Amino acid sequence: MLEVAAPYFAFWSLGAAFTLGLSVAVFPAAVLLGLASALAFHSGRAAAGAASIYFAIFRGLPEILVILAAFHGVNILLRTVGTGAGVALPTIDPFLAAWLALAVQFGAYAGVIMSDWLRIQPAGLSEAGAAVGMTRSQIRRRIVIPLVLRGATASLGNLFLVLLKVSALASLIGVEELSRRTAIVSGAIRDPLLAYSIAAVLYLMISALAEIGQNLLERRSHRRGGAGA
Amino acid sequence: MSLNRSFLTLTVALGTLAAPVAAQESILIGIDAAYRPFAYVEPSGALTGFEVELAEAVCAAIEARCEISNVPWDGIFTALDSGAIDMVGTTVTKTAARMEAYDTSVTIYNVGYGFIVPEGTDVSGGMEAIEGQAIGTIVGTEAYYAFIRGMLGEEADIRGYDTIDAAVLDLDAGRIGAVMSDNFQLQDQFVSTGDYVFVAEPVFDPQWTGDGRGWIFRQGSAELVARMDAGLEQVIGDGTMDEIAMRYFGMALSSE
Repeated sequence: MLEVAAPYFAFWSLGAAFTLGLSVAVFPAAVLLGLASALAFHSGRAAAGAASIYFAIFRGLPEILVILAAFHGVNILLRTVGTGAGVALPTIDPFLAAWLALAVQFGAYAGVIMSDWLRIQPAGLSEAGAAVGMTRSQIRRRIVIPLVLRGATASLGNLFLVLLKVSALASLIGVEELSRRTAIVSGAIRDPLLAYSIAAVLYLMISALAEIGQNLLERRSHRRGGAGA
Repeated sequence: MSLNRSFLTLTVALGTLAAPVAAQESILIGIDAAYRPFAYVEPSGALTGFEVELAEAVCAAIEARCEISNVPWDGIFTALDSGAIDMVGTTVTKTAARMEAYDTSVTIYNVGYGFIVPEGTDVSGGMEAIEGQAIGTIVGTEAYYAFIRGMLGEEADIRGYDTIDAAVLDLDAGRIGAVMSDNFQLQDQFVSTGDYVFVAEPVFDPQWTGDGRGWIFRQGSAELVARMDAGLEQVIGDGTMDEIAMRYFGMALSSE
């Protein structure tokens, strides 16, 4: 049975690497967006309003819609604009569209997580910073953000695992990650059950890798931060 | 490195970030390569199959530069609408609804309908061999049911199955006399094993099978359609298509 699928392992593993690569590329952008929106949420009125609208929209929309809109929507828009202006605009790359859609969407999830950590951060820590003469941006950089990131590590790790699986939706716009490649192999070997069973194992392996990474990060941040937090 | 290269191939294959000027000159063809033997990938990742080779042959015939990319079926018409591809190279049944919304090529081949029985059955009398017997097919396929009634009479005993494999299992068990489906499926999965034979030559009458299968283009692609049609007529006329079809289906195709 397996020997039918064996020649496709290299092709397949590349799909698995692509799934991991897409998530790894998306995650820092999502965390940055989340951090920025969380800080905005706790600042002045206009920025806080904008952040809560961002949270409401992108936590509410299904990922599949955002991905399809980012790819087909943008392409239709580019085509319409291009035809109107009489020039041929290039189309958006599916990988770029998936990256953009996932980063914006997971930025909203990360934003709410970090916004909660900001809310429970004792005001005394920032006051202590001010007392030793730090400026507002120094307090942010040296106290607020490091503590938020450390506190949110576990939740963000969960978010990363969700991202790994949701990134399968990128297959719908032609990104050849693990799910799309599994469909392709299944079509080539004419044995869907075998193909998807192997895909399940590959997903578990990727998740295991991600979990090992998360454990290492957590252990490091605890060692650095000493007991508390 | 190899991941990087695959990313690059994907990008270039989809003709997206590639230089827009060059992309203007090449024809972007989308094929869902997850359907052997029509279109599938080799272990190396290269696209192959009947549809891929046919598109390549036509592009060679008209000396056009074509970029064939692997587009999931679910999004293939949206990709066409949005300009990510210029042509659906998966051979698609030319239904009335599709022909109204899109430009279509000439009919590339017709799908035939046929009946199979276990090898050893006496089929010298043609359809007489299965008259009065129960016929298995896929449940809910109006065109198939109409065809069976047309061939065997209104009172034909039709048994619907979820998949053609289930119908063939019942044929093996002797609970039905024949299985009816399209000639590709019957030939590729059953007749080619040597355990089954067609009752008669598959029927290609448009009364039953519609307008056949062809390529789909955006509306307003008259110029491109004319070029591809000319190429198609050439590869159909000079036997190139038959040669490709023999290799993938074990039979020539009818485009009459």
